Amino acid sequence: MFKSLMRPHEKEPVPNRGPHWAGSDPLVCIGHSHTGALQAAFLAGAAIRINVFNFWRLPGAIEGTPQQPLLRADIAAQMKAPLISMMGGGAQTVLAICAHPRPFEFILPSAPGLPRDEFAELVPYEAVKARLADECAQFWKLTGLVASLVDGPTFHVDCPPPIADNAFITPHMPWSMFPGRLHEVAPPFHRYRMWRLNTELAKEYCLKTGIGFIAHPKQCEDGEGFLQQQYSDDGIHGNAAYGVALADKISSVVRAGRYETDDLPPTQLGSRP
Amino acid sequence: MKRANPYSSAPDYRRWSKSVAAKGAAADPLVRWPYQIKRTDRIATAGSCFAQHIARYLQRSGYNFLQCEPAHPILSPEIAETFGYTQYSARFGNIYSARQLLQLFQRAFGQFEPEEPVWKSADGRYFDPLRPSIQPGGFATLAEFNADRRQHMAAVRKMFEDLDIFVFTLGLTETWVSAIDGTAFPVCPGTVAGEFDPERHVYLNFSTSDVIADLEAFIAGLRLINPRARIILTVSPVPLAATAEDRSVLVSTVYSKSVLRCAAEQVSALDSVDYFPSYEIITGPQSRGRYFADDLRSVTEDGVAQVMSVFFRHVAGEPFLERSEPAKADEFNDTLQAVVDALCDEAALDAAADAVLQENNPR
Repeated sequence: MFKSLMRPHEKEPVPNRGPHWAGSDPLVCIGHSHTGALQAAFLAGAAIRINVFNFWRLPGAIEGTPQQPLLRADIAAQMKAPLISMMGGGAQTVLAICAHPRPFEFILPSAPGLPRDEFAELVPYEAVKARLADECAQFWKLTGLVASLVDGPTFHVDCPPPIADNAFITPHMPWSMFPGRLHEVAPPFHRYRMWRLNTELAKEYCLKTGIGFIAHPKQCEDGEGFLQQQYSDDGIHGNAAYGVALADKISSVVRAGRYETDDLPPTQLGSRP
Repeated sequence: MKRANPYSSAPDYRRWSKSVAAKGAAADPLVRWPYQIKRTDRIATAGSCFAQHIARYLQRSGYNFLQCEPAHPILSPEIAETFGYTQYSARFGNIYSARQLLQLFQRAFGQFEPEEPVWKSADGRYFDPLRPSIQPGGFATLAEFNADRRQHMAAVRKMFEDLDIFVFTLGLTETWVSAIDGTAFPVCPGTVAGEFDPERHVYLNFSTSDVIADLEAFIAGLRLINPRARIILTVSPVPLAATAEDRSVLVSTVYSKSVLRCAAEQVSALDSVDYFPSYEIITGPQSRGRYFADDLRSVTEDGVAQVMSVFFRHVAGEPFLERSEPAKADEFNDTLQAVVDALCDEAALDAAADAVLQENNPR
């Protein structure tokens, strides 16, 4: 699939191999809860020209089995290139947002100097990566499915980085979704590390499959790489303001006809535990 | 009238015809055991790959299998197994020789520091020379390697300090050691990881007195930090995958197992040290080879079950009963002939030889 487009790190525009987005038609975006930022931006009156399909609001959209998912025919018919996928983005949250009764850490090879709790149990990076990859597998299946439905490029949009301030997140935590877990948000850099690992896995998947990768809008970060609070209402997802910034980034990347080339943020040593 | 002799009134267990030939594969070679383990006893295991079975059965039986370095619960059982958790009481992988066990103890208590602490591969990955198989592909960074080893050593210390019973399975006499400081490697450098260097890596085939000396030194050290510890020695029935001697691997296997068996016998004369005859149950003529899989090396689940039934009957004083849900229970019990999935990195010797053979003899 689009082997000729598998040059995600190149700055040069990739050749146009399929219907290209000229900017006149709305883009099609399909995914899970992080699509909410784009929808929120649209509802807030932003001039966003992206049609969003949010699985959370489309019960029954996914048919088949978890191993071989299928998209309901009427939705599949509306997929068109260049397609924007916002599948998943919650696996790292599931694993890391709650403080674990057996606090654990891992050392991220791309940022070994990130602050970590020295008293927390060290879990092998590769083991954590394998675990997170297991969580992500279902989302990559869906991404591959929607990409196969269109004749042209597909782009995966990364989820936003976590908010640094635990006090901001805590009131919004849906504790009922985390049965048996401590009602305490995990340390900021623990959450940040898992988010970066998730991002690295997404990049690996995109590299392997020839799907474009679009990172979060950098202007929404704070000085340490966390999401600024003004870009989230619930501490996990982007809000309307984030949606505006994200839509702008998606548009510019797709319009340029090239893959996003943003690298992960540089290692930033912060003061938070 | 015949005069009485030392054999005329011998009980059945001393007579081959009655205790072995008559019983066949069900023969029970354990006559008496000096104590019974309690469910509260903390039982630690280590040794060659056959020891993994003992750990597995202890975990399934509900006995107090001591786990000082358990997998973190975020990891699935499959991932935990892949990364060397749950095999033993700490994440040290297979310990094939008594020298390796002694040095593990010494490293844990700051008495020994290998001169060759880490192997870096050509692609920049870091491997622990003393447990090369616990981290598939090695560690990505030296920082992680060092932090993980610190954590591991703390777990090993805790294991030796806390255990009530230590089950150790002797596996090999053929060993590769550092020419610099004598560090005993679990497998030959260059097979699972690292690079073989004839200047730095030398071969030793331990004698009975070597093994006895190493075991006695280990036991003396253990007594100092844990005087209540009891030790159960076993000898792995798994033959050598390959020999470094210029002779048949079959001859080397018999030599190696004979040495280990003799050493275990002698050391078990010490207080609180006992020998358990798993080797005899698997390899004795009464089994007619039925406890080996088609490769004549791997022990079948039937064989392991027979060993553990004897173990539980005598050592625990009750038959083995499954008390907790085993991982992959269906897979393990699908067929009576199923070869147990013991992770045996000594087998890498054989695989490595094949790889070299194929490289040198391209088709």
